[in-house]
Amino acid sequence: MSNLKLTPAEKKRTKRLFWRNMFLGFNMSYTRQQGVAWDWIHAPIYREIYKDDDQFWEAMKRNMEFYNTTPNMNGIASGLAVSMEEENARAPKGTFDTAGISGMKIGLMGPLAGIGDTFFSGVWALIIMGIAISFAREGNLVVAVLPLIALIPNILVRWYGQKYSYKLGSQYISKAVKSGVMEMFTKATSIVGVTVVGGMISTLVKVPLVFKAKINGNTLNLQKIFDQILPTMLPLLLALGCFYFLRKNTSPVKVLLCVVALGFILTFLGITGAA
Amino acid sequence: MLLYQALIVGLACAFAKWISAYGSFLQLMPFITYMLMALLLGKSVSQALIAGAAVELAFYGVMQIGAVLPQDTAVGGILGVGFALILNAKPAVAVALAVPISMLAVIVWNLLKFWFTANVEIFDKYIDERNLSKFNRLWWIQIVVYELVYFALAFFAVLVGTSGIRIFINSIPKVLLSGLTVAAGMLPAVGMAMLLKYVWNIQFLPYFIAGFALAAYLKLPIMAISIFGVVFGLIGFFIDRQINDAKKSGMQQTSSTGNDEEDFFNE
Repeated sequence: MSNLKLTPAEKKRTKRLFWRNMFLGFNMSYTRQQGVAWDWIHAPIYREIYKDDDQFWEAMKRNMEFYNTTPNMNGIASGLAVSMEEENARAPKGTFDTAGISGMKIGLMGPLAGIGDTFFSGVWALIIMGIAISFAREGNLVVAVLPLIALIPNILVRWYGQKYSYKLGSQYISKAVKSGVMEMFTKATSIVGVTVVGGMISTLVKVPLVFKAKINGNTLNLQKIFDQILPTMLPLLLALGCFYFLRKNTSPVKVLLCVVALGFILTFLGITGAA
Repeated sequence: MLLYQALIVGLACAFAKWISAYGSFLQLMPFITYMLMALLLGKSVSQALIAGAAVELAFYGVMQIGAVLPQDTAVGGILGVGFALILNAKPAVAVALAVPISMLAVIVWNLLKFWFTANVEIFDKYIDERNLSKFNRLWWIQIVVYELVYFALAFFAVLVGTSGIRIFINSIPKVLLSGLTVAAGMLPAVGMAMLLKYVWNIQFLPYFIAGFALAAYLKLPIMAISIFGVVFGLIGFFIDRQINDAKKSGMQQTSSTGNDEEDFFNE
Protein backbone atom coordinates (compact mmCIF):
# COMPACT_ATOMS: atom_id res chain seq x y z
CA MET A 1 0.00 0.00 0.00
CA SER A 2 3.03 2.24 -0.06
CA ASN A 3 2.02 3.52 -3.47
CA LEU A 4 -0.98 5.21 -1.80
CA LYS A 5 1.25 7.66 0.04
CA LEU A 6 0.97 11.13 -1.41
CA THR A 7 4.06 13.19 -2.04
CA PRO A 8 3.89 16.72 -0.58
CA ALA A 9 3.18 18.19 -4.02
CA GLU A 10 0.43 15.65 -4.66
CA LYS A 11 -1.02 16.28 -1.24
CA LYS A 12 -1.23 19.99 -1.95
CA ARG A 13 -2.95 19.28 -5.24
CA THR A 14 -5.51 16.84 -3.83
CA LYS A 15 -6.29 19.19 -0.96
CA ARG A 16 -6.94 22.04 -3.34
CA LEU A 17 -9.09 19.80 -5.52
CA PHE A 18 -11.05 18.64 -2.47
CA TRP A 19 -12.02 22.19 -1.49
CA ARG A 20 -12.77 23.34 -4.99
CA ASN A 21 -14.98 20.28 -5.56
CA MET A 22 -17.36 21.68 -2.94
CA PHE A 23 -18.49 24.12 -5.63
CA LEU A 24 -19.82 21.52 -8.06
CA GLY A 25 -23.43 22.33 -7.17
CA PHE A 26 -23.18 25.98 -8.19
CA ASN A 27 -24.16 27.58 -11.48
CA MET A 28 -25.84 24.59 -13.09
CA SER A 29 -27.18 25.13 -16.58
CA TYR A 30 -29.74 23.26 -18.62
CA THR A 31 -27.35 22.50 -21.46
CA ARG A 32 -24.18 21.44 -19.63
CA GLN A 33 -25.44 20.95 -16.04
CA GLN A 34 -22.16 20.92 -14.07
CA GLY A 35 -19.88 21.30 -17.11
CA VAL A 36 -18.91 24.91 -16.37
CA ALA A 37 -18.41 24.09 -12.69
CA TRP A 38 -16.12 21.20 -13.60
CA ASP A 39 -13.96 23.58 -15.62
CA TRP A 40 -13.83 26.23 -12.92
CA ILE A 41 -12.93 23.61 -10.28
CA HIS A 42 -10.12 22.10 -12.31
CA ALA A 43 -8.75 25.21 -14.03
CA PRO A 44 -5.88 25.90 -11.57
CA ILE A 45 -5.03 22.20 -11.43
CA TYR A 46 -4.84 22.00 -15.23
CA ARG A 47 -2.75 25.16 -15.18
CA GLU A 48 -0.22 23.39 -12.94
CA ILE A 49 -0.27 20.20 -14.97
CA TYR A 50 0.08 21.78 -18.39
CA LYS A 51 3.06 24.06 -18.74
CA ASP A 52 2.12 24.45 -22.40
CA ASP A 53 -0.55 27.13 -22.92
CA ASP A 54 -2.06 25.37 -25.96
CA GLN A 55 -2.49 22.14 -24.03
CA PHE A 56 -4.05 23.96 -21.09
CA TRP A 57 -6.71 25.65 -23.20
CA GLU A 58 -7.30 22.46 -25.12
CA ALA A 59 -8.05 20.74 -21.79
CA MET A 60 -10.35 23.58 -20.72
CA LYS A 61 -12.30 23.38 -23.97
CA ARG A 62 -12.50 19.61 -23.82
CA ASN A 63 -13.82 19.59 -20.25
CA MET A 64 -16.62 22.11 -20.86
CA GLU A 65 -18.77 19.21 -22.02
CA PHE A 66 -22.01 18.04 -20.38
CA TYR A 67 -21.41 16.62 -16.95
CA ASN A 68 -23.84 15.73 -14.16
CA THR A 69 -23.45 13.57 -11.10
CA THR A 70 -24.11 13.61 -7.35
CA PRO A 71 -21.70 16.27 -6.04
CA ASN A 72 -20.74 14.14 -3.02
CA MET A 73 -19.46 11.40 -5.33
CA ASN A 74 -17.53 13.61 -7.70
CA GLY A 75 -14.20 13.17 -5.90
CA ILE A 76 -13.87 9.77 -7.56
CA ALA A 77 -14.29 11.06 -11.10
CA SER A 78 -12.30 14.17 -10.35
CA GLY A 79 -9.28 12.37 -8.88
CA LEU A 80 -9.25 9.96 -11.78
CA ALA A 81 -9.54 12.73 -14.38
CA VAL A 82 -6.62 14.65 -12.87
CA SER A 83 -4.40 11.57 -12.87
CA MET A 84 -5.29 11.01 -16.54
CA GLU A 85 -4.56 14.63 -17.41
CA GLU A 86 -1.18 14.25 -15.71
CA GLU A 87 -0.51 11.19 -17.79
CA ASN A 88 -1.43 13.17 -20.89
CA ALA A 89 1.00 15.93 -19.89
CA ARG A 90 3.83 13.42 -19.37
CA ALA A 91 3.22 11.51 -22.60
CA PRO A 92 4.83 12.82 -25.80
CA LYS A 93 2.40 14.97 -27.76
CA GLY A 94 -0.24 13.01 -29.64
CA THR A 95 0.43 9.64 -28.00
CA PHE A 96 -2.26 9.92 -25.30
CA ASP A 97 -5.85 9.69 -26.46
CA THR A 98 -7.71 12.40 -24.57
CA ALA A 99 -11.03 10.89 -25.65
CA GLY A 100 -10.36 8.39 -22.85
CA ILE A 101 -10.80 11.15 -20.27
CA SER A 102 -14.17 12.19 -21.65
CA GLY A 103 -15.15 8.56 -21.97
CA MET A 104 -14.27 7.95 -18.34
CA LYS A 105 -16.26 10.98 -17.18
CA ILE A 106 -19.33 10.06 -19.20
CA GLY A 107 -19.07 6.42 -18.22
CA LEU A 108 -18.64 7.15 -14.55
CA MET A 109 -21.14 9.97 -13.93
CA GLY A 110 -24.18 7.69 -14.34
CA PRO A 111 -23.16 4.92 -11.92
CA LEU A 112 -21.82 7.48 -9.43
CA ALA A 113 -25.10 9.39 -9.49
CA GLY A 114 -27.01 6.14 -9.15
CA ILE A 115 -25.21 5.27 -5.94
CA GLY A 116 -24.92 8.84 -4.71
CA ASP A 117 -28.57 9.76 -5.14
CA THR A 118 -29.73 6.50 -3.59
CA PHE A 119 -27.33 6.64 -0.68
CA PHE A 120 -26.84 10.33 0.14
CA SER A 121 -30.06 12.00 -0.98
CA GLY A 122 -32.24 8.96 -0.38
CA VAL A 123 -31.35 6.61 2.41
CA TRP A 124 -28.83 8.55 4.49
CA ALA A 125 -30.69 11.88 4.48
CA LEU A 126 -33.90 9.95 5.15
CA ILE A 127 -32.60 8.20 8.25
CA ILE A 128 -30.78 11.21 9.68
CA MET A 129 -33.67 13.57 9.07
CA GLY A 130 -36.09 11.03 10.54
CA ILE A 131 -34.07 10.93 13.75
CA ALA A 132 -33.51 14.69 13.72
CA ILE A 133 -37.23 15.38 13.31
CA SER A 134 -38.10 13.15 16.26
CA PHE A 135 -35.63 15.12 18.42
CA ALA A 136 -36.64 18.51 17.06
CA ARG A 137 -40.32 17.88 17.77
CA GLU A 138 -39.50 17.93 21.47
CA GLY A 139 -37.28 20.96 21.03
CA ASN A 140 -34.25 18.82 21.90
CA LEU A 141 -31.00 20.63 21.17
CA VAL A 142 -29.19 17.39 20.20
CA VAL A 143 -30.29 18.32 16.67
CA ALA A 144 -27.42 20.81 16.60
CA VAL A 145 -24.77 18.07 16.76
CA LEU A 146 -26.47 15.26 14.85
CA PRO A 147 -26.08 16.73 11.32
CA LEU A 148 -22.39 17.41 11.90
CA ILE A 149 -21.84 13.72 12.65
CA ALA A 150 -24.03 12.80 9.71
CA LEU A 151 -21.81 14.82 7.38
CA ILE A 152 -18.87 12.47 7.99
CA PRO A 153 -19.70 10.00 5.17
CA ASN A 154 -20.04 12.90 2.75
CA ILE A 155 -16.59 14.20 3.67
CA LEU A 156 -14.98 10.73 3.73
CA VAL A 157 -16.31 9.78 0.29
CA ARG A 158 -15.17 13.12 -1.10
CA TRP A 159 -11.65 12.84 0.33
CA TYR A 160 -10.85 9.13 0.09
CA GLY A 161 -12.74 8.64 -3.16
CA GLN A 162 -10.65 11.35 -4.71
CA LYS A 163 -7.40 10.19 -3.15
CA TYR A 164 -7.75 6.52 -4.09
CA SER A 165 -8.94 7.13 -7.60
CA TYR A 166 -6.11 9.64 -8.08
CA LYS A 167 -3.47 7.21 -6.84
CA LEU A 168 -4.81 3.87 -8.00
CA GLY A 169 -5.83 5.00 -11.45
CA SER A 170 -8.39 3.98 -13.96
CA GLN A 171 -7.91 0.20 -14.01
CA TYR A 172 -9.18 -0.20 -10.47
CA ILE A 173 -12.21 2.00 -10.89
CA SER A 174 -13.28 0.46 -14.18
CA LYS A 175 -12.76 -2.96 -12.63
CA ALA A 176 -15.07 -2.00 -9.79
CA VAL A 177 -17.70 -0.72 -12.21
CA LYS A 178 -17.49 -3.82 -14.41
CA SER A 179 -17.44 -6.31 -11.55
CA GLY A 180 -20.95 -5.24 -10.56
CA VAL A 181 -19.92 -4.30 -7.02
CA MET A 182 -21.39 -0.84 -7.49
CA GLU A 183 -24.77 -2.18 -8.58
CA MET A 184 -24.77 -4.61 -5.68
CA PHE A 185 -24.03 -1.74 -3.32
CA THR A 186 -26.80 0.41 -4.80
CA LYS A 187 -29.23 -2.46 -4.45
CA ALA A 188 -28.24 -3.07 -0.82
CA THR A 189 -28.66 0.64 -0.11
CA SER A 190 -32.09 0.60 -1.73
CA ILE A 191 -33.09 -2.29 0.53
CA VAL A 192 -32.16 -0.22 3.59
CA GLY A 193 -34.16 2.68 2.14
CA VAL A 194 -37.26 0.62 1.45
CA THR A 195 -37.19 -0.92 4.94
CA VAL A 196 -36.88 2.49 6.57
CA VAL A 197 -39.61 4.01 4.39
CA GLY A 198 -41.90 1.15 5.43
CA GLY A 199 -41.23 2.00 9.07
CA MET A 200 -41.49 5.75 8.57
CA ILE A 201 -44.92 5.49 7.00
CA SER A 202 -46.13 3.90 10.19
CA THR A 203 -44.39 6.31 12.57
CA LEU A 204 -44.41 9.67 10.80
CA VAL A 205 -47.57 9.82 8.66
CA LYS A 206 -50.60 10.77 10.72
CA VAL A 207 -54.25 10.35 9.78
CA PRO A 208 -55.97 11.02 13.11
CA LEU A 209 -59.61 9.89 13.09
CA VAL A 210 -61.98 11.57 15.53
CA PHE A 211 -65.25 10.29 14.14
CA LYS A 212 -67.43 8.62 16.76
CA ALA A 213 -71.02 7.54 16.33
CA LYS A 214 -73.56 6.19 18.79
CA ILE A 215 -75.42 3.16 17.58
CA ASN A 216 -77.85 1.48 19.98
CA GLY A 217 -75.97 2.91 22.91
CA ASN A 218 -72.61 1.56 21.75
CA THR A 219 -70.07 4.10 20.62
CA LEU A 220 -68.46 3.35 17.31
CA ASN A 221 -64.86 4.54 17.40
CA LEU A 222 -63.46 4.45 13.86
CA GLN A 223 -59.84 4.80 14.96
CA LYS A 224 -60.14 1.77 17.26
CA ILE A 225 -61.70 -0.35 14.54
CA PHE A 226 -58.96 0.44 12.05
CA ASP A 227 -56.29 -0.14 14.69
CA GLN A 228 -57.73 -3.58 15.35
CA ILE A 229 -57.54 -4.53 11.68
CA LEU A 230 -54.03 -3.21 11.22
CA PRO A 231 -52.27 -0.53 13.27
CA THR A 232 -51.54 2.61 11.24
CA MET A 233 -53.53 1.19 8.36
CA LEU A 234 -54.71 4.56 7.04
CA PRO A 235 -51.21 6.08 6.77
CA LEU A 236 -50.18 2.97 4.84
CA LEU A 237 -53.15 3.23 2.48
CA LEU A 238 -52.49 6.93 1.98
CA ALA A 239 -48.82 6.38 1.14
CA LEU A 240 -49.64 3.48 -1.19
CA GLY A 241 -52.26 5.65 -2.89
CA CYS A 242 -49.69 8.40 -3.47
CA PHE A 243 -47.22 5.80 -4.70
CA TYR A 244 -49.80 4.42 -7.13
CA PHE A 245 -50.47 7.81 -8.69
CA LEU A 246 -46.78 8.74 -8.82
CA ARG A 247 -46.08 5.47 -10.61
CA LYS A 248 -48.72 6.46 -13.15
CA ASN A 249 -46.65 9.61 -13.67
CA THR A 250 -49.04 12.01 -12.03
CA SER A 251 -46.95 15.07 -11.18
CA PRO A 252 -45.79 15.20 -7.53
CA VAL A 253 -47.26 18.69 -7.17
CA LYS A 254 -50.72 17.41 -8.11
CA VAL A 255 -50.47 14.50 -5.69
CA LEU A 256 -49.37 16.88 -2.97
CA LEU A 257 -52.27 19.25 -3.57
CA CYS A 258 -54.73 16.35 -3.57
CA VAL A 259 -53.40 15.15 -0.20
CA VAL A 260 -53.79 18.65 1.26
CA ALA A 261 -57.33 18.87 -0.13
CA LEU A 262 -58.13 15.43 1.27
CA GLY A 263 -56.91 16.50 4.70
CA PHE A 264 -59.15 19.56 4.65
CA ILE A 265 -62.22 17.75 3.33
CA LEU A 266 -61.97 14.92 5.88
CA THR A 267 -61.58 17.48 8.66
CA PHE A 268 -64.57 19.55 7.51
CA LEU A 269 -66.65 16.38 7.45
CA GLY A 270 -65.58 15.72 11.01
CA ILE A 271 -63.90 12.43 10.19
CA THR A 272 -60.38 13.53 11.02
CA GLY A 273 -59.24 16.25 13.39
CA ALA A 274 -56.35 17.68 15.30
CA ALA A 275 -56.08 15.53 18.38
CA MET B 1 -37.55 46.05 14.21
CA LEU B 2 -39.21 44.57 11.16
CA LEU B 3 -36.27 45.76 9.08
CA TYR B 4 -33.86 43.85 11.34
CA GLN B 5 -36.05 40.73 11.22
CA ALA B 6 -36.24 40.93 7.43
CA LEU B 7 -32.48 41.28 7.30
CA ILE B 8 -31.95 38.17 9.44
CA VAL B 9 -34.42 36.01 7.51
CA GLY B 10 -32.86 37.26 4.26
CA LEU B 11 -29.40 36.28 5.47
CA ALA B 12 -30.67 32.91 6.69
CA CYS B 13 -32.17 32.26 3.26
CA ALA B 14 -28.94 33.23 1.49
CA PHE B 15 -27.00 30.99 3.89
CA ALA B 16 -29.36 28.05 3.31
CA LYS B 17 -29.03 28.43 -0.46
CA TRP B 18 -25.26 28.65 -0.07
CA ILE B 19 -24.92 25.33 1.78
CA SER B 20 -27.50 23.69 -0.45
CA ALA B 21 -25.02 24.14 -3.30
CA TYR B 22 -21.72 24.17 -1.38
CA GLY B 23 -20.89 20.55 -0.64
CA SER B 24 -24.62 19.65 -0.61
CA PHE B 25 -24.62 20.14 3.16
CA LEU B 26 -28.16 21.48 3.53
CA GLN B 27 -29.74 18.03 3.06
CA LEU B 28 -28.72 17.26 6.63
CA MET B 29 -28.50 20.72 8.13
CA PRO B 30 -31.87 22.50 7.90
CA PHE B 31 -32.30 22.49 11.67
CA ILE B 32 -29.00 24.26 12.20
CA THR B 33 -30.13 27.11 9.94
CA TYR B 34 -33.44 27.34 11.84
CA MET B 35 -31.62 27.46 15.17
CA LEU B 36 -29.25 30.18 13.99
CA MET B 37 -32.17 32.19 12.66
CA ALA B 38 -34.06 31.88 15.96
CA LEU B 39 -30.99 32.96 17.94
CA LEU B 40 -30.48 36.05 15.80
CA LEU B 41 -34.17 36.92 15.89
CA GLY B 42 -34.09 36.65 19.67
CA LYS B 43 -36.76 33.95 19.66
CA SER B 44 -36.90 30.62 21.44
CA VAL B 45 -34.67 28.03 19.78
CA SER B 46 -36.86 25.12 20.80
CA GLN B 47 -39.88 26.87 19.27
CA ALA B 48 -37.90 27.13 16.03
CA LEU B 49 -37.10 23.42 16.24
CA ILE B 50 -40.74 22.46 16.76
CA ALA B 51 -41.89 24.60 13.84
CA GLY B 52 -38.93 23.32 11.82
CA ALA B 53 -39.83 19.71 12.59
CA ALA B 54 -43.37 20.25 11.31
CA VAL B 55 -42.03 21.85 8.12
CA GLU B 56 -39.33 19.23 7.52
CA LEU B 57 -41.90 16.51 8.03
CA ALA B 58 -44.03 18.02 5.28
CA PHE B 59 -40.93 18.12 3.04
CA TYR B 60 -39.82 14.67 4.14
CA GLY B 61 -38.60 12.59 1.24
CA VAL B 62 -38.65 15.45 -1.23
CA MET B 63 -35.22 15.20 -2.75
CA GLN B 64 -33.38 16.57 -5.66
CA ILE B 65 -32.94 13.66 -8.06
CA GLY B 66 -30.48 14.53 -10.77
CA ALA B 67 -31.14 18.09 -11.86
CA VAL B 68 -34.85 18.27 -11.11
CA LEU B 69 -35.89 20.35 -8.12
CA PRO B 70 -39.51 19.50 -7.27
CA GLN B 71 -39.83 21.96 -4.37
CA ASP B 72 -37.37 24.53 -3.10
CA THR B 73 -37.37 23.29 0.48
CA ALA B 74 -34.59 25.71 1.51
CA VAL B 75 -36.57 28.87 0.72
CA GLY B 76 -39.89 27.36 1.87
CA GLY B 77 -38.44 26.16 5.16
CA ILE B 78 -36.66 29.41 6.02
CA LEU B 79 -39.66 31.61 5.22
CA GLY B 80 -42.20 29.28 6.84
CA VAL B 81 -40.24 28.98 10.08
CA GLY B 82 -39.20 32.64 9.89
CA PHE B 83 -42.77 33.93 9.68
CA ALA B 84 -43.91 31.54 12.41
CA LEU B 85 -41.15 32.84 14.70
CA ILE B 86 -41.77 36.51 13.98
CA LEU B 87 -45.53 36.18 14.48
CA ASN B 88 -45.31 33.63 17.33
CA ALA B 89 -47.61 31.38 15.32
CA LYS B 90 -48.39 27.67 15.61
CA PRO B 91 -46.24 25.07 13.81
CA ALA B 92 -49.18 24.32 11.48
CA VAL B 93 -48.94 27.92 10.24
CA ALA B 94 -45.27 27.39 9.40
CA VAL B 95 -46.25 24.39 7.27
CA ALA B 96 -49.12 26.28 5.65
CA LEU B 97 -46.67 28.95 4.52
CA ALA B 98 -43.67 26.73 3.76
CA VAL B 99 -45.36 24.36 1.32
CA PRO B 100 -46.79 26.90 -1.14
CA ILE B 101 -43.68 29.10 -0.89
CA SER B 102 -41.44 26.13 -1.67
CA MET B 103 -43.46 25.43 -4.79
CA LEU B 104 -43.39 29.04 -5.97
CA ALA B 105 -39.69 29.42 -5.23
CA VAL B 106 -38.88 26.80 -7.88
CA ILE B 107 -39.78 29.46 -10.44
CA VAL B 108 -36.94 31.66 -9.16
CA TRP B 109 -34.48 28.79 -9.49
CA ASN B 110 -35.66 28.05 -13.01
CA LEU B 111 -35.20 31.69 -14.02
CA LEU B 112 -31.69 31.72 -12.57
CA LYS B 113 -30.88 28.52 -14.37
CA PHE B 114 -32.09 30.02 -17.64
CA TRP B 115 -29.68 32.88 -17.13
CA PHE B 116 -26.82 30.49 -16.31
CA THR B 117 -27.65 28.54 -19.47
CA ALA B 118 -27.53 31.69 -21.58
CA ASN B 119 -24.13 32.44 -20.05
CA VAL B 120 -22.66 29.09 -21.09
CA GLU B 121 -22.05 30.57 -24.54
CA ILE B 122 -20.10 33.42 -22.96
CA PHE B 123 -18.01 30.95 -20.95
CA ASP B 124 -17.28 29.14 -24.21
CA LYS B 125 -16.28 32.43 -25.79
CA TYR B 126 -13.86 33.24 -22.96
CA ILE B 127 -12.23 29.86 -23.39
CA ASP B 128 -11.81 30.49 -27.11
CA GLU B 129 -10.31 33.88 -26.25
CA ARG B 130 -8.09 32.17 -23.66
CA ASN B 131 -9.16 34.61 -20.97
CA LEU B 132 -9.15 32.86 -17.62
CA SER B 133 -9.71 35.96 -15.49
CA LYS B 134 -12.90 36.84 -17.37
CA PHE B 135 -14.01 33.21 -17.05
CA ASN B 136 -13.51 33.34 -13.28
CA ARG B 137 -15.15 36.75 -13.04
CA LEU B 138 -18.35 35.58 -14.70
CA TRP B 139 -18.35 32.48 -12.49
CA TRP B 140 -18.25 34.61 -9.32
CA ILE B 141 -20.77 37.15 -10.68
CA GLN B 142 -23.23 34.29 -11.15
CA ILE B 143 -22.71 33.12 -7.57
CA VAL B 144 -23.10 36.63 -6.17
CA VAL B 145 -26.31 37.19 -8.14
CA TYR B 146 -27.61 33.81 -6.99
CA GLU B 147 -26.98 34.74 -3.36
CA LEU B 148 -28.40 38.26 -3.73
CA VAL B 149 -31.57 37.01 -5.40
CA TYR B 150 -32.35 34.65 -2.52
CA PHE B 151 -31.43 37.24 0.09
CA ALA B 152 -33.71 39.82 -1.56
CA LEU B 153 -36.50 37.28 -1.97
CA ALA B 154 -36.69 36.50 1.76
CA PHE B 155 -35.89 40.09 2.82
CA PHE B 156 -38.78 41.62 0.86
CA ALA B 157 -41.11 38.74 1.65
CA VAL B 158 -40.73 39.51 5.37
CA LEU B 159 -40.69 43.28 4.93
CA VAL B 160 -43.79 43.45 2.75
CA GLY B 161 -45.62 40.28 3.69
CA THR B 162 -45.55 40.15 7.49
CA SER B 163 -48.51 42.44 8.19
CA GLY B 164 -50.66 40.71 5.60
CA ILE B 165 -49.77 37.29 6.96
CA ARG B 166 -50.49 38.44 10.52
CA ILE B 167 -54.02 39.48 9.50
CA PHE B 168 -54.42 36.21 7.62
CA ILE B 169 -53.35 34.12 10.63
CA ASN B 170 -55.58 36.01 13.05
CA SER B 171 -58.58 35.56 10.78
CA ILE B 172 -58.13 31.82 10.21
CA PRO B 173 -61.22 29.99 11.52
CA LYS B 174 -60.50 27.18 13.96
CA VAL B 175 -61.74 24.42 11.68
CA LEU B 176 -59.35 25.62 8.96
CA LEU B 177 -56.44 25.49 11.36
CA SER B 178 -57.23 21.94 12.41
CA GLY B 179 -57.65 21.01 8.74
CA LEU B 180 -54.20 22.45 8.21
CA THR B 181 -52.76 20.39 11.05
CA VAL B 182 -54.30 17.22 9.65
CA ALA B 183 -53.03 17.98 6.14
CA ALA B 184 -49.54 18.64 7.52
CA GLY B 185 -49.60 15.26 9.23
CA MET B 186 -50.62 13.54 6.00
CA LEU B 187 -48.05 15.28 3.78
CA PRO B 188 -45.04 13.07 4.60
CA ALA B 189 -46.86 10.29 2.73
CA VAL B 190 -46.17 12.11 -0.54
CA GLY B 191 -42.44 12.42 0.09
CA MET B 192 -42.19 8.79 1.10
CA ALA B 193 -44.09 7.68 -1.96
CA MET B 194 -41.68 9.72 -4.07
CA LEU B 195 -38.68 7.99 -2.52
CA LEU B 196 -40.34 4.63 -2.89
CA LYS B 197 -40.96 5.33 -6.56
CA TYR B 198 -37.31 6.26 -7.04
CA VAL B 199 -35.88 3.00 -5.65
CA TRP B 200 -38.82 0.67 -6.27
CA ASN B 201 -38.39 -2.84 -7.55
CA ILE B 202 -40.93 -5.58 -6.80
CA GLN B 203 -38.08 -7.60 -5.21
CA PHE B 204 -38.06 -5.07 -2.39
CA LEU B 205 -41.64 -5.78 -1.30
CA PRO B 206 -40.68 -8.08 1.62
CA TYR B 207 -38.38 -5.40 3.08
CA PHE B 208 -41.11 -2.80 2.82
CA ILE B 209 -43.55 -5.04 4.67
CA ALA B 210 -40.91 -5.90 7.28
CA GLY B 211 -40.14 -2.23 7.91
CA PHE B 212 -43.81 -1.39 8.25
CA ALA B 213 -44.52 -4.30 10.59
CA LEU B 214 -41.52 -3.50 12.79
CA ALA B 215 -42.92 -0.02 13.35
CA ALA B 216 -46.63 -0.79 13.43
CA TYR B 217 -46.55 -3.83 15.71
CA LEU B 218 -43.25 -3.70 17.58
CA LYS B 219 -43.31 0.13 17.82
CA LEU B 220 -39.56 0.28 17.17
CA PRO B 221 -37.95 3.71 16.79
CA ILE B 222 -36.49 4.81 13.46
CA MET B 223 -32.92 4.07 14.53
CA ALA B 224 -33.76 0.43 15.29
CA ILE B 225 -35.58 0.00 11.99
CA SER B 226 -32.57 1.46 10.19
CA ILE B 227 -30.37 -1.17 11.81
CA PHE B 228 -32.71 -3.93 10.65
CA GLY B 229 -32.61 -2.31 7.21
CA VAL B 230 -28.82 -2.52 7.21
CA VAL B 231 -29.06 -6.20 8.17
CA PHE B 232 -31.41 -6.89 5.24
CA GLY B 233 -29.17 -4.88 2.92
CA LEU B 234 -26.07 -6.81 3.95
CA ILE B 235 -27.83 -10.16 3.50
CA GLY B 236 -28.88 -9.09 0.03
CA PHE B 237 -25.37 -7.88 -0.75
CA PHE B 238 -23.68 -11.13 0.27
CA ILE B 239 -26.18 -13.27 -1.62
CA ASP B 240 -25.65 -11.14 -4.72
CA ARG B 241 -21.91 -11.45 -4.37
CA GLN B 242 -22.12 -15.19 -4.15
CA ILE B 243 -24.30 -15.34 -7.26
CA ASN B 244 -21.91 -13.00 -9.04
CA ASP B 245 -18.88 -15.12 -8.13
CA ALA B 246 -20.67 -18.31 -9.12
CA LYS B 247 -21.53 -16.78 -12.49
CA LYS B 248 -17.93 -15.74 -13.08
CA SER B 249 -16.41 -19.10 -12.16
CA GLY B 250 -19.15 -20.79 -14.16
CA MET B 251 -18.18 -18.82 -17.23
CA GLN B 252 -14.52 -19.70 -16.80
CA GLN B 253 -15.29 -23.39 -16.46
CA THR B 254 -17.39 -23.60 -19.57
CA SER B 255 -14.75 -21.85 -21.63
CA SER B 256 -11.65 -23.66 -20.40
CA THR B 257 -12.87 -27.12 -19.47
CA GLY B 258 -15.08 -28.05 -22.38
CA ASN B 259 -13.19 -31.35 -22.68
CA ASP B 260 -13.97 -32.44 -19.16
CA GLU B 261 -17.62 -32.44 -20.01
CA GLU B 262 -17.01 -34.82 -22.89
CA ASP B 263 -15.02 -37.09 -20.61
CA PHE B 264 -17.83 -37.08 -18.15
CA PHE B 265 -20.34 -38.15 -20.76
CA ASN B 266 -17.99 -40.78 -22.14
CA GLU B 267 -17.70 -42.40 -18.75
